[in-house]
Amino acid sequence: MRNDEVISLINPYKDKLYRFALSILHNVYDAEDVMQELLVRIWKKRDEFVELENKQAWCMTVTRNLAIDKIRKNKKTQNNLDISECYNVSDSNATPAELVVRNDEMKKLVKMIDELSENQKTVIHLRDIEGYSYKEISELAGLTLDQVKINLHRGRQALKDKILNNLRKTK
Amino acid sequence: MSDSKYFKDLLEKYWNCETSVEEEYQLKQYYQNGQVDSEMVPFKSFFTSLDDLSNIKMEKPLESLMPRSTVKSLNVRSWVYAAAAFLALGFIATWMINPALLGKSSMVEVKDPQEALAITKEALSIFSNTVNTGSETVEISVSHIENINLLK
Repeated sequence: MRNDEVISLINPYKDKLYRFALSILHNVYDAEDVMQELLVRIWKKRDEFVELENKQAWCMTVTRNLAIDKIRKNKKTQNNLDISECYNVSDSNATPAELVVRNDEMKKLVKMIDELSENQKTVIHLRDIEGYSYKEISELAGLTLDQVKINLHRGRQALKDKILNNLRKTK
Repeated sequence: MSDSKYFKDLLEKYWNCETSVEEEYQLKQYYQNGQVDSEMVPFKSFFTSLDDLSNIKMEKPLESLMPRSTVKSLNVRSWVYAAAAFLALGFIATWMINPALLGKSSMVEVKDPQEALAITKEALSIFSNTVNTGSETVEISVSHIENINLLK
């Protein structure tokens, strides 16, 4: 199997994988490293990978594991959370002023999500950002359906409380 | 107003995790496009930001992240193996055709003129014997051909 054939297999969901890595690492370079390591994994196991029924699920699981490993190896990534250069809205229809506001709001949300537990973060990301079903999330995150629902409910409630608290503070 | 009521209910269902993926998409679209009801405004930036987050794309193409070094090293290694095999075959072939090329030269220098003359004579006699044999064979063959012509 050639390089371009490996790439064509994961190209359709490369952005999902990248966003998943970025949601865990909050660092563009680390997320790209994870993507590269994922490609190496696929290249090494290319014969098995071609036979896989759910390539996307396999890639998501490997991406998550690689990103968590990277956090463990490089603890400063989490301690010095600086997302200012990681998240930028790309909307050609928005005015520069709108982009500034939306970038700011997006970064606030990322910080709020980051304060949730690991499972809550994963489930919120997979459901509210990627739009997966509960069953798919259960497979991707290695959780039972009940755990998915509980983590999603608690995560959303926590986010709702934070939003309302922030609103009260500004008033 | 019915729209507003529908989306208020949808928002309540959303926080209680009772919405489907499709209904959550509708909610995001409502916040993106429509006039948002005043009661629902506090969550506008939340849904807009979720949508913005879902539109983040990897800027670098996957090709640039492909581990070229691994592939390259495999190619270099295979080329080295091929070159080594080619050299080995060449060595064996040369040795089989003319072992003298790989070992010491078989030429011997003779300093005594008498001895050199004797060796040369011997070599010439071998050569002339061979040449004579060749001409005899040709003569026999020609006579055979002539006989065949006579029969005709």
